[in-house]
Amino acid sequence: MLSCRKATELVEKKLVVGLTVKEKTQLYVHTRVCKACLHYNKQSELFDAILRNHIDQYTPPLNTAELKVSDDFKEKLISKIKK
Amino acid sequence: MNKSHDVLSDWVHRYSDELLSWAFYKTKQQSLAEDFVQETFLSAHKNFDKFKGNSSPKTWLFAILKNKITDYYRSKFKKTIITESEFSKDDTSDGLFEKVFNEGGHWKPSFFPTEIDQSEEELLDNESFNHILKQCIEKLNEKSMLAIQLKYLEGKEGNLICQELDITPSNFWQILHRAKIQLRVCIDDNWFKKVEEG
Repeated sequence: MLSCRKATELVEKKLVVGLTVKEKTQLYVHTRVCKACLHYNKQSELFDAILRNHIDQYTPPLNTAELKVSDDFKEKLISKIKK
Repeated sequence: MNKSHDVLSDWVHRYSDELLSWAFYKTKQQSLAEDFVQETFLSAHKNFDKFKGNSSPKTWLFAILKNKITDYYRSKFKKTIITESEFSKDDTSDGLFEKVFNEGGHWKPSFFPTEIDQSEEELLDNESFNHILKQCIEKLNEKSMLAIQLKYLEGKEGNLICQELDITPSNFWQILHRAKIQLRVCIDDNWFKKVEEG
């Protein structure tokens, strides 16, 4: 039977390129007897959506101390466009 | 053309803060982020006639910026792979799998994935959760971080991403697997287990 390490690997493979029939069966059998991997597999789509949202959409709150947003930058940019 | 100058200047005032903020979050470098935003507006100016007003200006500008960031990540990722093979770095050297799985390859009890009661909606726009997620992503090593970014930035099909990166699919999802396990453990520790504790 698959190890959890291998089962979780298949969960990730499923999300990237899909699984062979054999792999699907192996994963299914494993999740019938392993609750941890059952959770991991069930939650994989949730995490996929969460990550997609965070990576694609999310911006941390504006004007954090790390980033200096200046009007100078905007003025320079506008003058470059006008060239 | 005067009209496009005026429109673009207006867009600079309206959108450059947000574009810069996002570019900075993605690159962690102010001057690089400024360069990308500048290139975005210059590209928008050059291709202004292609903007048909089907999408909002913000969406269009972000799409241009996203392309540039993706190209940047792609070339960084390729460099990471090359550097690794030159120095024969052992991919398993960080001990992640040894920490999380026992000798038989099964989850150690303290690392069991927790049940999640919260819905997608509750989590997606939750600022505190996204903050935790941000910190967990920042703990990844460079290769893992870049793989995650490339997988989720444009929602491209896995095989296509692999082709562009010049690596095999199995190599790619193994890198993602390692990254995801690390993220899962981090998020569980810092969010889901804490939610459980109340």
